[in-house]
Amino acid sequence: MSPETALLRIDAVSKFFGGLAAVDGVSFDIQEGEILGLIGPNGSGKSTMINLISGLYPLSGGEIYFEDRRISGLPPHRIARLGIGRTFQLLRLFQGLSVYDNVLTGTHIAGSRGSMVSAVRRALTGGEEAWMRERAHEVLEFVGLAERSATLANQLTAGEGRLLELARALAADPQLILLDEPAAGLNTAETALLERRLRALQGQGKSLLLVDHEMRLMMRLASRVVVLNEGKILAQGTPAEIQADARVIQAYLGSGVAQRRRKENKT
Amino acid sequence: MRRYLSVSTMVGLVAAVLALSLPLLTQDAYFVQVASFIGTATILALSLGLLYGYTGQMSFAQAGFYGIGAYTSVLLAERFGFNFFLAAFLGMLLPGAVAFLVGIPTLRLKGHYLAIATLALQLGIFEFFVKAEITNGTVGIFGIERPALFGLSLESNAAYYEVIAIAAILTFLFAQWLVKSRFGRGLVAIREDEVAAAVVGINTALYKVIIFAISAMLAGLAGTLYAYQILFISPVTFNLDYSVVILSMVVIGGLGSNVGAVLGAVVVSVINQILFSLGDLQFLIYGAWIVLVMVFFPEGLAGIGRNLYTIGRTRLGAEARSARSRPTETEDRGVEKSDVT
Repeated sequence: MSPETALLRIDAVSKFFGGLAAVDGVSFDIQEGEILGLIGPNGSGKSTMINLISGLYPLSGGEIYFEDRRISGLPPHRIARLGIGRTFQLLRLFQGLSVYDNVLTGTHIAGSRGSMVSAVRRALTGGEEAWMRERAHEVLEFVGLAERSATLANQLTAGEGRLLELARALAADPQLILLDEPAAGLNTAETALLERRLRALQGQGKSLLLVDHEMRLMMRLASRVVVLNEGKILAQGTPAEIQADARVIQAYLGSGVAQRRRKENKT
Repeated sequence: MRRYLSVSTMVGLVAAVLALSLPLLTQDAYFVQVASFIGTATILALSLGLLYGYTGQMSFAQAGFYGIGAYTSVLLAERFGFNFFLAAFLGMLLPGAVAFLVGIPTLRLKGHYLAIATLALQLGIFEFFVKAEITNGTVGIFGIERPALFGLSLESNAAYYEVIAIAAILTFLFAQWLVKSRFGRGLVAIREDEVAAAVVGINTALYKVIIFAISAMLAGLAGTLYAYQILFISPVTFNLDYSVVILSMVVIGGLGSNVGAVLGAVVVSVINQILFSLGDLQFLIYGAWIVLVMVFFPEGLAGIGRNLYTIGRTRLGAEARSARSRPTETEDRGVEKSDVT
């Protein structure tokens, strides 16, 4: 867990919206091949964190490093090109395009990898286009949406839309994938598939930042969990440690537990 | 990959051959004139279609770029003795450069704000044409001489029409190639969701500026072709009204379709010619029929065509398809659908 080997390093990052501190002095890192969980109640700054890493918001303070290179301050497309993909909690699909075209668009930068010479040769021979189309098919197979290739994105169920978000992010073959509530709206079968796929990605050496507000998926997938509360890190540790942490239970699980206890007392 | 030509390619080929052979049908001066106007209008509609229909960036400055192209090539060739091809090339380059420079600050604006910024640009360009000495103000420039191309005399309007028709066909092919390319997918992604486009690695600011410049260059080309057709230019041709007419061609044709832009250019030009005889009433009727098209056919003429095509395909191909249902079928259709989007 030493910072030198970290794939992504968040260093004292802050984000203020007006006077409100959405993220306040947060530091953590993600190792290569690691699934890191990021949880916290609504409004605790999880999505803001993803927006900061992917460059959609400028930072108010601190730095972010990816592969030891400072990425804070870079525009989103540059960050994507370095190998960071993401999904959105509120789906941002290319609504008017087919499922297949959504993923094909996701291959945009993957098509420009490699040397200038090979890129030009591929472009001239049409090899690039063929490669991108092949890649889009592969990724759709991977997330189980191949059957839905021709469907327009705006005709998908919520669960399928979320899988398409994942597929589009994977299309460019990123090294780090930021997943903003990937299981929200998924049915049981889809959740199981998602879980297998995320494990497979980890097996390929990818790193994942898994954001969610519930522990279920985290418990099974994440090796470490960071808990945010009101923009600050409340706790971090293994999922088991987090579940046992009194502060976390109080701040995050607290009300639910308290309610249940009250109910039990009544009966 | 296909062993035979697709229906759309054949329709396109027939349309191209018909367009090129129009002068064989008639050499009537009025007819050739209208056909030439349709040709330049087609290029203009395609140029705005790339920017608005495919990339989602509205512009009211298209007539202004059209004018910059016309004035640039005419002044360079007529007054400064430039070679015609060089003058025509610079007549594309200058509007492209203006669009590039203006686009850097303005394309950060979204929706109505961008529309208003381009409106201001259009008014500014028009004022320049009217006020500047070099453009000869409201009087304009007379006595433009049509050059011979490759030793072929273009003195007859029918011969010159062929030049316009070829340019329009090439512009269409270019636009089709562009939107199907990786760059074109980036443009559509920007239209669909700019934030999502950025996080898949598309340099949205750069792409928008580039397509704004390409769009202006094509409008500039149309300007040159127009100037050497009519052999006289004055500011009134390049005013805001005409920007709106170009916009209406794109919208009526169907946003996000090059075929639609062509259809829109043809239909709007023909109807405008017919309405022209009605005097002041023409604007009333013009407004009314555009509203009607938008209410009943929001996807434009291309949408109507697409629906007919789908119905035809479904009726004719249903049996054949069910007989040879194979997994790649859905993929094929997916690709085709994207082609016309």
